[in-house]
Amino acid sequence: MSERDRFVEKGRPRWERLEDLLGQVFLTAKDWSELASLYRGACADLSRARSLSLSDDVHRYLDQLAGRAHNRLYSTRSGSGWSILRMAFVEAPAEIRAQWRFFLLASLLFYGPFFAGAGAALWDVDLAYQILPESQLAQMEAMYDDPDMVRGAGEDASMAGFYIWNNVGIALRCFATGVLGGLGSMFFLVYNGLMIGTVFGYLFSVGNGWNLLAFTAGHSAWELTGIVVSGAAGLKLGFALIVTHGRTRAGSLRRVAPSLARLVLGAAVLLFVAAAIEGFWSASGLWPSIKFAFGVVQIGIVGLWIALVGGRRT
Amino acid sequence: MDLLDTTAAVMTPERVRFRYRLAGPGRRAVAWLIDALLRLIVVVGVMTVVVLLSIIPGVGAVGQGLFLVVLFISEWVYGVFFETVLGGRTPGKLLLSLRVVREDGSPGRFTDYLLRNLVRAVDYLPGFFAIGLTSMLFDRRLRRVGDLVGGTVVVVEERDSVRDRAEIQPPVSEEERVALPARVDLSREELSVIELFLRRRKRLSDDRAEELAWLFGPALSERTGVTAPTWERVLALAYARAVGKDR
Amino acid sequence: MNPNLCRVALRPRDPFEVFDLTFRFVRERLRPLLRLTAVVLLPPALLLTLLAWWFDGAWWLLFPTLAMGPILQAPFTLAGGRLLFGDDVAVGQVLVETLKRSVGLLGLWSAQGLGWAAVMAIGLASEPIAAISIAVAAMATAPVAGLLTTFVGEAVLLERVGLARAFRRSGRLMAGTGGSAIAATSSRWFLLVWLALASESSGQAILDFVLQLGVPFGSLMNGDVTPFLLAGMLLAQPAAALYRLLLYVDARTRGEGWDLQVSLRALGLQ
Repeated sequence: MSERDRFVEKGRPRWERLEDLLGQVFLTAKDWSELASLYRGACADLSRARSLSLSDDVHRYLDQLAGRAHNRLYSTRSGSGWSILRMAFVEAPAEIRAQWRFFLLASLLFYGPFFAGAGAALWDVDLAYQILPESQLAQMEAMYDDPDMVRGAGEDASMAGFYIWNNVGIALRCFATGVLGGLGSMFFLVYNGLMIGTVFGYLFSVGNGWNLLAFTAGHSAWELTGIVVSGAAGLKLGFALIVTHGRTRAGSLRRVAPSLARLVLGAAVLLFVAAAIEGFWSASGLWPSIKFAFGVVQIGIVGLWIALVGGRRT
Repeated sequence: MDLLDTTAAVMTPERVRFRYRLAGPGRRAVAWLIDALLRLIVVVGVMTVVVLLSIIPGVGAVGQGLFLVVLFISEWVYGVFFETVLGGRTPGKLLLSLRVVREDGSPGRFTDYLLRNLVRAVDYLPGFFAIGLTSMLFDRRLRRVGDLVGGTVVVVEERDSVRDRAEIQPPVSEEERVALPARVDLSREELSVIELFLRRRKRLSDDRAEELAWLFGPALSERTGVTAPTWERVLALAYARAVGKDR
Repeated sequence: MNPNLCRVALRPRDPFEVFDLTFRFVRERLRPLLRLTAVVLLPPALLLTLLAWWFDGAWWLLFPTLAMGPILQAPFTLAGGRLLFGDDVAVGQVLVETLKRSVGLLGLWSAQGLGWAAVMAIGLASEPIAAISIAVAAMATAPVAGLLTTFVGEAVLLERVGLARAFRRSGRLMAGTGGSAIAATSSRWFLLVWLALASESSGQAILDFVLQLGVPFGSLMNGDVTPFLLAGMLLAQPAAALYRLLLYVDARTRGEGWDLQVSLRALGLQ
């Protein structure tokens, strides 16, 4: 019998038992401890097979066996629901504070074009037509013609769904495209800032501005901050790819990954709340003054959340 | 020398080294298609229910909102949810024995899954996964951009087997044993190649086996002095004597 | 380093793994393959771009591209065979060798070319949709036809056998791999369509979105055959050739112990 065949003969009963355990969906506590010890045995066999330089098929078999056992043993828990919620609601604002440079940069990239677009449209309506097609502006004008744009309750839910699908999706894409050296995120920030600003400026210059402002007062704090935070996350992602501080690019990404995850979750929270408010509150027939007051409260809530929640991050 | 293969070595924290089989675009595309089909079924199912319910006044629009939320979930939440709950696997990956693990072989965490799934939005671009495909072509571990950001690799977990034994059929006879030279020295490499040949012998036709043995048999016979009617037998006998298997 | 040893790990693989291995193979042999790609694919690419521009993206441009496929694959099959054992090949040498060895395949290529020409003629005479339907039907039945013909090119180019024997070789090898071979043959068409569409969308995105040049070549959305689409189809040829080469290696490893042949020969030559 060859060295290899002896080795296989000796190991086979243990390996087959391990295969059995791996095939089972539910394991008792006793099974788990047996699995762990069989896994250690397989690892020892693997390193012995390597030192004896047995044939390739033995290596391959033990590699896959050890790999599967390893994954089964260690992949039971990968973050509880609570820890994820904590990350989104508590750790995210602290992370935004810690990443204030990127937050500031994203704000500039967003609000700069925003005020530029608004200013241009206010100064000369024709400039608005240069930025956005006339048909789209006319549509906006018609939409905010009526001061109280009351919708049915069902329609509210439909719009909330739309805002989640559309707005949160855009923000997530804004983050993801940061991997293109930050360019994608920059584009999203500038583009959206300019569009929204132009619409505001245009509607004020044609006289429907206060209707739009009343409509947006409730959710704008959440929504605009959400866009900026997702943009900040994308910028940080792009920055980590370019400035690696002597690490490999992959290593540099690895270092910022947890902070990116927190920022994205924070942006998602902001945008979900925005979608809910925009869907169920913003189009209600309440007096504009109430809506403005509500909007001021929302600004306060968002501001306090970012400023205070979560303690210090290092 | 490392042979070109679709595997990657990892070192676990317990300092155990083993090789994973990596999954590339072939298998992953199929897993993705299965997931896409599942998502489509759910989305179409919800749409049907919404359309059916829309005859009830007032419910239709609520259904529409619900439908869009389902669409959002299918696009952005499906992957990260299943990977978190099923230990790095979506239903499609489960069916094709794929699993997402971290680069060092340790199990993935929520943040890894989150990032790799979000960045899939870039891998899609500009269409038909062009960026993801390019990234997999250039990366030695077949990772798409999402994997690079998430720090993950996708591995194949499939059962393998060690069945065949190296047998000498028929066993070495008494006359053959007597005729063999007293010492046959084979290098480690030669031993392992002949062993592989004997192990695979059953699955080869007789002609083919002889044809293969002819490639090395003459040189071996000349060097060691082992003779036999067929070259195949020369290999078998030389091996038997070298490892002391002739008794 | 022993030049007689295969540098790719030989073991039975399923078609997916072979597909993934193709990616790794291309990655590790990028330089010689890129050089060969430039020499072999650039002339047809320029020609097709010119034609696409001249004829305004006419649908029938798909057909000469399809007919060219097997011819364009031949040098890659040969080069791939060499690159299994070494890091580099000389482009000129590969081309000369391909010309010499592909004499046996000329009949087969002309038959295939005539077939595509006939389909194109049907389309020109009646409706384009007729020709395109026949082409799609041909792709759909490819697995069945492939049972006999898949490895004919490899047998002629790498084993240097005659056409008749090549058909028998191909049939026997496919029988040895069983059902997986059918999946493999159809996935080559899948690869062609995938790369063509990916190339079309990438090209359009760069031209229209990044460079803001609009759609000077038309777009597939409007039924135009663009140079990007054709380029994708051309790029699919080396990919398909290398994928099939590795499938062939796999089929031989399983069916006739090709890995043993390589290592035994290496020992014999020492």
